[in-house]
Amino acid sequence: MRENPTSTWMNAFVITALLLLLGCEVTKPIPSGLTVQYRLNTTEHITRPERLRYEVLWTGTATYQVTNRGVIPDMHAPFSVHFSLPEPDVLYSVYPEDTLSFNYHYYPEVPARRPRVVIFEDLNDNKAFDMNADRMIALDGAGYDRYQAIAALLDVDFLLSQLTPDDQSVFYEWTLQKYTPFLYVGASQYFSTHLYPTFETSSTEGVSHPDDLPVLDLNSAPELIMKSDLVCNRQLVKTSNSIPVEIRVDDTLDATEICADAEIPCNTFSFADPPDLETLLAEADIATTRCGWTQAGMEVIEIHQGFISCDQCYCTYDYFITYFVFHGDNIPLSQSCPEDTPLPTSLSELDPYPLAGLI
Amino acid sequence: MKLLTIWAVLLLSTTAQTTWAGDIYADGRDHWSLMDKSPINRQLHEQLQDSSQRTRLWQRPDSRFAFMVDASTGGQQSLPETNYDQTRYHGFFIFDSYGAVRLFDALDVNLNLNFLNPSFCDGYRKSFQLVAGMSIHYHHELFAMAGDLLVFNALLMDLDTVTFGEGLLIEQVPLEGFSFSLKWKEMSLSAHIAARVFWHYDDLLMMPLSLFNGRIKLLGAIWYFTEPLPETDGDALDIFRTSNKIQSYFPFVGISAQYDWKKQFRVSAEYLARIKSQHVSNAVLLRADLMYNSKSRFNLHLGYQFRFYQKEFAPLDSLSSATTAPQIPQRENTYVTNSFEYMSLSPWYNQLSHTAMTEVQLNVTSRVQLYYELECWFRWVFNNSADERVLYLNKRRRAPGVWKDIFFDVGLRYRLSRGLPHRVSVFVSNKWVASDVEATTPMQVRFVTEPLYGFELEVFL
Repeated sequence: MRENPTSTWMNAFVITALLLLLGCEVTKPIPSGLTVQYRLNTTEHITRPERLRYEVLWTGTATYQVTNRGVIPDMHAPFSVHFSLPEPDVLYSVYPEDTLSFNYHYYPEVPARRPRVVIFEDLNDNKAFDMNADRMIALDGAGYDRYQAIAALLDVDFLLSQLTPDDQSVFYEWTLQKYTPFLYVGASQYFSTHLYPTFETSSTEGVSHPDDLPVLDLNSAPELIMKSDLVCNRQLVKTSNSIPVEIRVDDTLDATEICADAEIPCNTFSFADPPDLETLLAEADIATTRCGWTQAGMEVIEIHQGFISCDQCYCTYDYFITYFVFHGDNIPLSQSCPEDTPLPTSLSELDPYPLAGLI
Repeated sequence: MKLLTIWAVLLLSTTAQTTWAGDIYADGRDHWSLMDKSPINRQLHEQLQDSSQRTRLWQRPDSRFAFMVDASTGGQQSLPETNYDQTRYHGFFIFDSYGAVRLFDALDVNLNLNFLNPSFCDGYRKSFQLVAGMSIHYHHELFAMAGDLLVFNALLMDLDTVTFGEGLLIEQVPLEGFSFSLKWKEMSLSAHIAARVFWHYDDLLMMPLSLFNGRIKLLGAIWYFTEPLPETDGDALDIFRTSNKIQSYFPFVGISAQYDWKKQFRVSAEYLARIKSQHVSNAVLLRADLMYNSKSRFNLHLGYQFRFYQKEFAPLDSLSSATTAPQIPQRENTYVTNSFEYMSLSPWYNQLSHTAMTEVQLNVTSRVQLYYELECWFRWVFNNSADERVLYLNKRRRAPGVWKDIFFDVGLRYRLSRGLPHRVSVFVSNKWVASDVEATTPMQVRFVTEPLYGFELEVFL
């Protein structure tokens, strides 16, 4: 909006006169909350989208407080979540006790705490997240996005007072130019409590419209993992085992040659009656596929069927791998591979151990 | 209106020169204080003729050559039971030498070689530094117009201490660049172009039109920035291509006026507006000074400054700290209240301040002088919009807020010889120049404001 130069001039001198005459005290701001844009990435089927809700939780070994909750109006569009501080005794007892390094070189680390953002389907219609009754759809920091989050500084003024004015200007880029203890952070390692500000500063320069705000992704993960991660306060230990179980060769190929060096069962299958990959994938808690070709023009599909088991804060992913080998001209089967699966150009880029005879 | 008329009559009726160093071209030093003033790197012949310089070794006004030296050695150390250790100049010498050759009446070549070593603790002569400046000064009476000479000045490239107007935008800042001026009767039109003023990529073109011997000045300035594009940053070859740079221009216009009475009382005012596409940002300086120089016994200066810098007055669209160099002890002879201090915060905050200054020199005997300088600086840093960003200028200064600072320098000077200025000083102060290892490293902070004590032996050759 265009400002009137005269009014600007007048404003300045009115303020000047007031301060001269009255010796006004200057209002001292207090830190405010921060509104952040999130986007839900999920392939989960939501039976009643109007039940899709979010909650901001502060959790610790003896802490649980909700500071904001609301409805997600459109699960396919970014939505806003407002962060505000919980009661001080809750904030200080949030676990884990994170620290934030504004700059690795010479600034001290300052204490910070990360709240959780839970996306759930409110199955019992009580408008609040119930671990036992509701279906968890996504959790801040439990999926692929576990490294990126919003954190609250315990003493934002202490950090600012340690920084140069120019570095404070950078700090405000992380907070979208707000005086707030909340800022975008990442964790340097898997469940590290050492945080650092995230996203490129250039992406927020000149942010003037809500559409320009950085959007944090909330990705789905297996519900068992998300619930365990929430209960365990981000301290979930995850291990995985890859267990090759079978090579299945198209019976139009020479299975004897292909299976010669295989150390796992190697059988044939008829392309005329192909296996139902959809069913195989659906049986698993988590499933992935990979595709590739041999130099001889044979195509290989790896089917990873993952099954999850958790014991308190330790979860194990057991991946059972089945290899389907067939002639590259048999296109229909290869279409089972997701389109965005990166395709290796040869089998040498796949795990060669069970396929040594093919290369 | 009546007040304005009285002001104008007083202004125009006085015949006194507005400054008694008016013969020095574009002299940016503040002559309305009792603080020491270093020589300026031009017109040495004229400076040596000033009564205050009569004890200098070189007293040959007819010679083509001139020189003078301010040499000192001393230290700035911690007081007992205090936390702050010492300054960079904890054990220093300074040999600030000025030489000039007047090739003919209109042309001087001036060389200022400031040899210094801020620390004898770094190793034998290890921290020796040389801060040098050279200026060629062409000053020529071109021809007579209506009975008065038209005088042309050209100065490049050491402008030495620069003040623009009354000091609202630039005040006692050492700069390099070019300066041109045409003077006729009591008016002059000047153009001063200075490079690297407060930021790495800035240049400043200042164009004052001076009337009535400087009592009124119409001020115009363009502060411009030429920054390399990020992708060429650091590329020594590409950085000089115009196509690889972003240029920004920030114009200022305004007016200043001053009135003085018998060199004892002065009032001055300056108004500047930064012109932007959508609106203007304003700044105002009001200043009053009372000087009493008894020469023999007692000298006094009482000063007052009011400053207002509206938000976004500084030539920046985003917050970026101003820096200045070189940081040498001679720069302690300025007030902390300075336009520099308002520039870094300007993109986010309005700033208003009142400063009261007092300087007293009491000659107890012909050799012993007690002195003190006191500067009380109250600042209001505020924002009248919904923007509530908090910024710490340092650990003790939170904006928005009201900041109250008192700076002092109290000491004793002893003249080594009656009638000569060479002296030993011992003093306590909380205004010390803040320097990095190299004096020429630009600093965001001008002063260390911790109470320390200093001692100094000064000779004036």
